[in-house]
Amino acid sequence: MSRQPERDFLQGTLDVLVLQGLAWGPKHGYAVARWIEEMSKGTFQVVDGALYTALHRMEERGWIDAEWGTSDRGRRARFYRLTAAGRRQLRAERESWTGYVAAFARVLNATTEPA
Amino acid sequence: MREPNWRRYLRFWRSSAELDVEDELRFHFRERVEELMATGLSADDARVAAAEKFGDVARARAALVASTRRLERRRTWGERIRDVLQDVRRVLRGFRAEPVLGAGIVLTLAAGIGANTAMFDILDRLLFRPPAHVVDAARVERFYFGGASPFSGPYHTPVANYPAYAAITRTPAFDGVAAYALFGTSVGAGASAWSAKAALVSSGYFALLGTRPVLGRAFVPEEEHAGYGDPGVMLSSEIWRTRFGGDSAIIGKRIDIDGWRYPVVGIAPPEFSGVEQRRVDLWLPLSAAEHGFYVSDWSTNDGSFWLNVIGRIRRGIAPAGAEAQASVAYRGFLASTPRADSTAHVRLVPVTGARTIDGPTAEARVSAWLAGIAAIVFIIACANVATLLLLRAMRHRREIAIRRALGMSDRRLAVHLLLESLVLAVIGGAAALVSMRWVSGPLRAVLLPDVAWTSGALSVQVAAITIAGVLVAALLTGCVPLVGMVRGDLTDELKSGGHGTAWHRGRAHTVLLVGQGALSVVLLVGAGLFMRSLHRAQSLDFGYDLAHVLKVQIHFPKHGSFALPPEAERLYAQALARAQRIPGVTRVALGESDPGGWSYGMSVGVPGRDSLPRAEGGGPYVTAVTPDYFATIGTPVLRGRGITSADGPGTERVAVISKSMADLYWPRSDPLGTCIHLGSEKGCTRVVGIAGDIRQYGVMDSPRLWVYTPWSQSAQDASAARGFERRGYTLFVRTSGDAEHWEQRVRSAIQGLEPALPYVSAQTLESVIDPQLRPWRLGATMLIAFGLLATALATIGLYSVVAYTVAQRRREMGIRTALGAQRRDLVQLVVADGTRIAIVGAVLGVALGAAFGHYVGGMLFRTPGFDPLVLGGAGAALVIVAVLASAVPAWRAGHVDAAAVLKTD
Repeated sequence: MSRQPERDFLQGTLDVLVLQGLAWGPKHGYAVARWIEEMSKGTFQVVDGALYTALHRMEERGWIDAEWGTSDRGRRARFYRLTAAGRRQLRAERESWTGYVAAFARVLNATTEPA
Repeated sequence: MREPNWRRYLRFWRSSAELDVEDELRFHFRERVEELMATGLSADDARVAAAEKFGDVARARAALVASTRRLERRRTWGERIRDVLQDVRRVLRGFRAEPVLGAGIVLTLAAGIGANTAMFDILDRLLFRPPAHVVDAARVERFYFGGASPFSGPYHTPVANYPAYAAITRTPAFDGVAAYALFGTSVGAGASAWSAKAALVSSGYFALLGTRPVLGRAFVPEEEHAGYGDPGVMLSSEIWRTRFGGDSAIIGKRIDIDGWRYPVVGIAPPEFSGVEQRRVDLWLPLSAAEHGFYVSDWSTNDGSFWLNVIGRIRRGIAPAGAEAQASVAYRGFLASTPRADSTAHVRLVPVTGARTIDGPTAEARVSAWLAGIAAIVFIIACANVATLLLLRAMRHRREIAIRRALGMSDRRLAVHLLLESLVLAVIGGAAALVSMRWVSGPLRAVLLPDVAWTSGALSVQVAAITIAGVLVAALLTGCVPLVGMVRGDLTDELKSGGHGTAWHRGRAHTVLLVGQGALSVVLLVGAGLFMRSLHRAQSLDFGYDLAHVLKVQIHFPKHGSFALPPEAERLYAQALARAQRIPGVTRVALGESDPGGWSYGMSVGVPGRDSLPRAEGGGPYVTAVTPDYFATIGTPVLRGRGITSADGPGTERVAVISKSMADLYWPRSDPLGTCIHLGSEKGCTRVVGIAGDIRQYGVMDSPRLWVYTPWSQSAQDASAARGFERRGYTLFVRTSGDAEHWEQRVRSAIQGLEPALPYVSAQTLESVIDPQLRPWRLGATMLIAFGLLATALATIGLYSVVAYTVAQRRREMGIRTALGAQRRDLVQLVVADGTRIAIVGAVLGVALGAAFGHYVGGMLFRTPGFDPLVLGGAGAALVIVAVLASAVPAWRAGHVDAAAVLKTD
C-alpha cells in the first residue's frame, strides 16, 4: 500500500471510511478526505473524484444529509452529516469489517506457525 | 473582476444544480491547492498536482450533477410548499422591523388595485350583466325606427305610436314583441301621498322577458285593449316591502294612482327594472293610459310617439334578417298612413351592453373614463411602491451581499425579492376586495345615481381583473429592485465598506419619480379643467335665483286629458296664501310655466310688421304671473315696471317682455309703451317693462322670447271672456335662507291644505338644474381626489429618496461643513437636486396634460381644453410640493457634526 494516486478503493471500503469520518460531526468534502489521509497515517490516499461520487451516492441513499455553510476561513462549502440511517449503516459495516479483519488476522497469524 | 452584465443574466437562468456542484468542487480545489502551496510548491505546480489527485473531473462532475438533480426531483410537493411558506414567513418577518413602510405599501397597493376593481365592477355591471330577471337577454333587442321626414331629413327614434307597434308584433323573425313607456306619477292622496316611477307595458312584456312575478300574475291580453275597465297594477318588490309591509294579502287591494284606483295583481321579483337600468316602482298595462297617464285615444292616435319597443329574436335568425323583416312590416304599416316613407326602416340594438343607436350611453362613457383614470392611479401606485421597495433593497444591501457571499444563488435572491412584492400585493389586493364589499355599493350610488344598480357580488371577470392587477403590481414593483440587484448596484457598496463618498441616485429612481410627478400633473390638470367647467356652469346666470326659490306643484290626476281640474284655481290660491304664512318665507308668487317644466307658446304680433325674426331658443312663450313674481323668482326688471296688483281684469292689458325679445323685435327703438297682439286677440297689449333673460331648461339653453302677463288678466274659465285660458300652475316660494332647508316644511304645509289633496312636490330650482351639472361635478371630484392622492404618493416617494440619499451623503456633508459650509448651503444642495427632478416631471406632465386637455375638450363647458393657467398651476404645484419634500429631510439632517462623521469611518 504505497502512495499511488490512481489506486482505486473498493466502493464499500470508501463508504465506511467516509461514514466513520462523519461520525464526529459534520464535515465538508475536503475535510473528510484530509481526515481519512491523516487517520490512516497516509496509508489511504483518497481519489477526490471518487470521494465526491461516494458522498453524493450516500446522500441519495439517505445515509448522509448535506447543507451549505461557511468554512472556517469564511468560504462557502457543502457540509455533510450522518443521518439516523447512516449511523445504523456505519454500525453494521463496522461490525462486519471488524469481523472480517479479525478473521484475516487469525488466518495470517496462523500461517506463521511452523508445520 | 466584475462579471459583465450579460454573463450575470446567464448565470441567473442556469440550473442551480450545476452551480452548486461547481461551487463545491471549486472549494475543494482551492483548499487542496493552498495545502500544496504550503508544502512549498509553486501555484501552477500545486494546481497540476491537485488536478491529478482529483481524478477524472469531467466524469465526476457529470455524475455529481446528475445525482444532485435526482435528489432535487425527489423532494416532495409537501416539502416544496413548506419551503414556500417558510419564504413567506421570512418575508413577513422582514417587514416586522419596518411596519410603517409595510403598512404604507399595502395601503398604496390596496388603493391602486381597489380603484381599478371598483371601476371595472361598474363597467361590468353596465356593459356585461344582463338586466335582472331577464332570461337569455342576449336575444332581446331594442327597436329604433328610422326614415327621412320632409321637414328635418333622416332621423332615428326609439319611440313609436301604438298602431305601428301593433303592426309589427306578428313579425315571424321574433318570438315576441313588446312595448313600454316610462312615466312619473303620484300615488295616494293627502299627507301620505308619494311620487313613483311607473312603466306602462304591453301584456306580453313579462312573458317576453321571461320574468315571473313572485306573487300573483302579470298582465293578461285583455288589459292591453282600449276601454278595458279595470286594469291591474304590479308593484316592485321594494315598494311592496317598504310601503306595504310585504303583506302577502296585498293581491286584490286597490291603490290610488294618479286619481284612479287600480287593484294589485302581482309583485315583481326583487331588483327587476325591465330593460332600462332605471328604477321602476309600478307596472301598469297599456290600457291605464286612458285613466290619467296619457290620452284616451292612445290606441288609435298615430300622431304621438310614446312607446319604446323591444323584441326577442327567434333562435337561429340573425339580427340583420330580423331587422329586414321588421323594416318590411314597418314600411308596410306606414304605407297605409299619410306618413308613407319608402326609406322607413328598423334598426335593432341589443338591450345589454349599454348602447344606444348613437353609440355607448352616457353612463358607459363616463364609466370608461373613470376606469382610465383609475388605471393611471394604479400605475402611479405601482411606481411609488417600486420606489420604496428599491430604497429598501438599497438600505439592506449589506445583508443581501452577505447572503450572496454565503451561497444564496442569484435566483433565490430574485425569487425572494419577487416574493416580497407578491406578498405585499396579495395583502393589498385582499384588502381591496374586502373593502369592496362595503364601498362598492355606496360608490356606485354616488358616481352614477340615476342607474338602478343590482346588488350582488363581483363577477368572475372582475375578480380575475383584480388577481391580474395583483400580479401586474407584484411584477412591476418587484422587478425594479430585481434589476438593480442583477446589475450589481446593490453589491458594489459592500466592497467599499458601505462608506463610499460617491453616491448616485440611480436611474431607476429618477425615472420612477419623474414618471410619478408627470402623471400627478396630468391628473391635476384634468381636475383644474373640470373645476373651471363646473364653476362656469354654476356661475352661469340663469336669470333666476337658484338657491332661494322653491317650486311647488300639485299633481292633479289627468283623467286622460291634459285639461286642468276646476279646483286647481282655488287650491293654488289657497296654497299661495298658506305659503305666505310659513315662517322664513319672504315672498310667494304664481306662474303658469315653470323652469325645467312646461312652457306655453303663443303667437305674438306687432302692429305694422308683417314678419318677425325667429329666435334660436324658440318662442315667443307666454306666461301669466302674479304681482310679486319677479321679486320672488329673482329675475330683475331691467326697465319699466313689473306686474303689479293694479293690473286687474278691468284695467288695460299689459305685458312685460324679456330682454332678448326686446333686442330682437325692437333693435333700434324702445319697446316700452308699444303695442303687441297676443294670439288671436285683436286688442292691444301694452309693453310696460323689460325683464332679464332666463334659461328655461338649463346650462345648454339659449335665452328665449318671453312675455309675462298679469295673472288676474287670464282665468281658468276663458269662456267668461275675461282673457286667456289658464294653462298651468306653479307656486314659487322664496325663502330667507337656503331653500333646501324649507323643502319639507313647505311641502307638508301645502299637502296639508286638504285631506284628499293629490301629491304635492316641492323642489329647489337648484335641484332642477343640478342633474345637468353632474358630469362636471363628478369629473372634478374624481380628478381632484385622484390628483391629490397621486401628488401625495409622489411626494412621499420623493421624500423617501431624498431622506435616503441625504443619509448616504453624510460624509460629504461632514467634509463640506468642515470646509465652512453653512446648513443653508447644504439644504440648498439637496433641494436643488430634488427640484431638478420635479421640474423635469412637471414639464413632461404639462406636455401630457395639454394632450389630455385636448382630448377631453369636448366634455368641458365653455372651457378650452388648452388652458395655460391650469397647466401652469398644476406644474407649479408639483414643483412647490417637491421643494418642500426635499427641504424637510435636508434641513433635518442638515446639522452634521463634522468631527463625528469623519471619525466614524
